[in-house]
Amino acid sequence: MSKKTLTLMSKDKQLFNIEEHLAVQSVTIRNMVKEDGASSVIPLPRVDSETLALVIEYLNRQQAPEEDEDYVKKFVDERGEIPTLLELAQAALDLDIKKLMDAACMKVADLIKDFTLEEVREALRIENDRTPEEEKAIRDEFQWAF
Amino acid sequence: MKMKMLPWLEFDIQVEILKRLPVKSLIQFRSVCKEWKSLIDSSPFIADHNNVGQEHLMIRYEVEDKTGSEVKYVCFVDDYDSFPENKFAPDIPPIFRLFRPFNTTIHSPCGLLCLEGLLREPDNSETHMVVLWNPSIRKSIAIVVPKNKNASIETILGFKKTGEPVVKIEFESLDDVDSALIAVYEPHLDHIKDLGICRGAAFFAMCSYNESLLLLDHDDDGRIVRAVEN
Repeated sequence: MSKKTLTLMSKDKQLFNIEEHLAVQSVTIRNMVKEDGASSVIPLPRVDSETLALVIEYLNRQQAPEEDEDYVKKFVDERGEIPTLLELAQAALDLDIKKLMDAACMKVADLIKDFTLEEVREALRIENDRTPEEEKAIRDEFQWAF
Repeated sequence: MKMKMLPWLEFDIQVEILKRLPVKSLIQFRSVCKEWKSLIDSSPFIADHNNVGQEHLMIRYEVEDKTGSEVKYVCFVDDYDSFPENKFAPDIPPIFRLFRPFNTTIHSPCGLLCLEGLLREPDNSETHMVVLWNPSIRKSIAIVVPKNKNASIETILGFKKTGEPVVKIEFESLDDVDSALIAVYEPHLDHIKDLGICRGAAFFAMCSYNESLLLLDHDDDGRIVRAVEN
């Protein structure tokens, strides 16, 4: 029996083939396949092609279970740039691939843990909604941490 | 190097990243934006974060010399690899200069230590106090135990489902073994609630529990009827 192949479509309409038994590591895809087994192309309108290529590379890994933890860690380590990691984390969250999401978020946390407030806002694209006075008041509660 | 523009970063993913940050970073990042501060200060987030934090073992000891004795603390980080080499002296809350804890320390898995002891006032009188101390964020609060003459006291630290701590202060009257008084202190309300007197009781045990829908099968006589199948 030949292995069934699924086609995933990225936000920018690029098509990626992946064997079904590998794709269903994503709980989201597993549920889609279960509900609508016949559909040939699965659209992923929030994942761009670069990120989807990474996700597929991860899903296609051929690792022994006992080496899997190390592999995931190395996989995200090699993509050490925050914007890439954030997209990967978001895709893994949307697709419900827990190990990949855990590892990507852990890596981001590790990279930003010593950042200044401004650096954190820039890296995660968060708008500062506080006045400098408000910021100081919060800082004063835990002087030692700054 | 190519920089990608991120059109969005959902709050869900921000939460997942924050959950994985150490306490020191979280305290700083409370100032990043309003949403982060409310999240980091919320009880569910604190309870969740407690599960990923490193375990510490704290030891309290007393050193005596000619001028008197001093209480000292040392922490060991139980990180498996370097334990017990990885140790440090925690920052002691200022109140500990005057506060002498009793020799019982109530340990808690939620990162709070509950110490009971006497605070020496400038006029040398002593006040019975309970100190709740979170060494990780270097904060503590002291609760004055209500005066109850000729009574023994027991202090229990409990937690609500949301992670909020509750200190139960239990009195037992020595004059009249038939009565006891139980009070509950909730730090976030900063208020001691009197639960009243339990008449006819001499010995106590207390614990907290959550409401549960778990049904235990039994027959009309209250015996267990479900057998374990192999």
